[in-house]
Amino acid sequence: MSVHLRLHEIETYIGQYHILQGISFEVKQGEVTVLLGRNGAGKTTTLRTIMGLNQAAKGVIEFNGEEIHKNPTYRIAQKGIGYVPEDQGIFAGLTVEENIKVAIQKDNAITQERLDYILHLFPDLKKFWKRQGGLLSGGQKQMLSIARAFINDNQLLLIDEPSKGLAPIMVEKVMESIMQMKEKTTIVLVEQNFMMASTIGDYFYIIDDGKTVHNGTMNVLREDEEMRRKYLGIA
Amino acid sequence: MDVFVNLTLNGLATGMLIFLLAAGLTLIFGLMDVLNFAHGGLFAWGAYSGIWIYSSTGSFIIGMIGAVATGFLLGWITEKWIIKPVYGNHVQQILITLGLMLVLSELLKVVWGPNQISASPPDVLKGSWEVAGIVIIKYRVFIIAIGLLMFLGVQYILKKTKIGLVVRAGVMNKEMVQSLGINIQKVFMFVFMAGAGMAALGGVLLGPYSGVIHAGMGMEFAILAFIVVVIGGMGSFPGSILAAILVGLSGSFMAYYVPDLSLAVNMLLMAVVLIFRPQGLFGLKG
Repeated sequence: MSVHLRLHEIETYIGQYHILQGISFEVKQGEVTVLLGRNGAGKTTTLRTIMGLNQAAKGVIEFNGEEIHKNPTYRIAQKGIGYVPEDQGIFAGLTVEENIKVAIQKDNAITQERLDYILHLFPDLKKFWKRQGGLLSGGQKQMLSIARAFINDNQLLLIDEPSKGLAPIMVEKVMESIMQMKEKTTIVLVEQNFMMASTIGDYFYIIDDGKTVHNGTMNVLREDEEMRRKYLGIA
Repeated sequence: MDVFVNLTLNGLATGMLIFLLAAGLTLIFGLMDVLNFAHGGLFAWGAYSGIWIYSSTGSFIIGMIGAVATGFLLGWITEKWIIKPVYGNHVQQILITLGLMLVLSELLKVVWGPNQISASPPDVLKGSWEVAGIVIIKYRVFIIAIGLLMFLGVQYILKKTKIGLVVRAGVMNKEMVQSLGINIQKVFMFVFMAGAGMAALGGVLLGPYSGVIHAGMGMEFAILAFIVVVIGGMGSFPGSILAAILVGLSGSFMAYYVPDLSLAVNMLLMAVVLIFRPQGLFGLKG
C-alpha cells in the first residue's frame, strides 16, 4: 500500500507555547489511522497543522509525495484533503443544503453521485435539507460536517473527535458511517472513545506531550493494557 | 400630510445614503474582521470623482459609473496595500485606517481644492411631482430607488450565487471556508471592492441631494454608518438597511419636531439597542 500522508519531525507553536515537539507518522492508502493520546497531547494541533491552520515551524509534511506544509489552507484542501474539525465548523446560519453546496469544488456527475451516497448514508440530512445548520442536533451537525468533507472526491479525510458530546446512539451511527466511508477513502481519526477508535482503526499512533511515542496495529493496542493505561488512562 | 410624507421621503433618502456606506462597512467587518475607518474617505472620493465626471461629461449616469469605478480602484489599493498587512490586529487597523481617512480627505483638497463644490441633480431629476396635493421631490425618490435596487441586487448575490454563499459562510467561519478549499483572500478583495464601490455610489448621490460636497463629508457620514452597523448588527446586511432607515427617519422627524435633539437621537437609538440587544437588531450572539 502506498503512503498518502507523511509527517516528519513536525514542530508547531501556538503563540509562545511549543505544542508539537516532534510528530512523525505515515498514513497508508485505504487505512484508518487513529491518533490517540490524553487531552492536550497535541492531536487536534496535529490535524490543524496538516491543514495549514497552524503553521509548522519545523519538519516536513508530504501528501502523495509532495511537500504541502508551506501551502495555504485552501490549496491543501484543494489537493484532496477533507477536514472535519473538533467543533464541526457548521455554518450555523446556512441551511444543510447550503452547507454542502458551499463545499462543492466541482459540480459534476461524480459530485452528484457522492451527494446521493451521502444522503443515503445520512438520511437525517435529507430530512432536514432546508433547516439551518445551527438548529440541528449535535449528532446531525457531526453528520453534516462529515458529509461536507466527503462531498468532494477527497483522497484523505481528517476527522477530529467525531464522538465528542454525542449520545451513545449517535456515536454508533457516526461510527457506522465512518466504517462505510472507509471503503472509499483514507482516514486520519482523532478519537478519545477507545471503543470507537479500536473498532474503526487499522493503525494507531500515540501522541504524548507533542511527540509521537508509540505506533502499531490496533490489535497490538487492544492487547497491551499497560500501554493503554500509561498513555490513554484506560484499562 | 404634506409634511409627514416629505419628512418620510427625506428620512428614507438619507437612510439609503447611509445604507450604501454602512452595507460595505458591515460586510467588511463581518467577513474580514476589519474596522475600516477609512470607509468614509471612499465615500467622499466617490462624491468628488463622480461630480467631477458628471460636470465634465454632463451625464449623471457616467458620473455614477465613474464614482463606482473610483471606489473599486481605491478599494483594491486599500485592501491590497494597506489593510492586508494588518489583518487580525484591530489596534493597527484603527490607526492605519484613521490615518488613511485623513490622507484621503487631504488628497481631495490637493486635487480639487479646499473649497466646497456645488452639485445639482440632472435636469430629468430636478423639481418635483405633485400627487394628491402633496409635493414629492424627484431626486429623493431617485435615491430611494437606487438604494432599494442596490439592496435587492446585493441580496440576490448573497442569497442566490456561489460567491454570495461563500461570503455568508465566511462571515460565520472564515477558517472553515478555507478548509473547504476556498481562497478567502480573493473573497476579501471582492467584498472590499464591492463595499468601496457602494460607498462611492452613496457619495456621488449625496452631492446633488445636499447641494454641496466638501472634504469632511466622509467623516460625518462614516459616524452615522458606524452607528447603523452597531444598531443593525455587525456583519448583518439586512440589519444595515433596517438600521439605516431607522436612523434616517428618526433624524428627519426629530430635526423637524425637536431640532435640539436631532443630533442626539442617533446616539440615543444606539444606546437603547446596546442595552437591550447588544449584538444589534440582526446580529448573532457571541
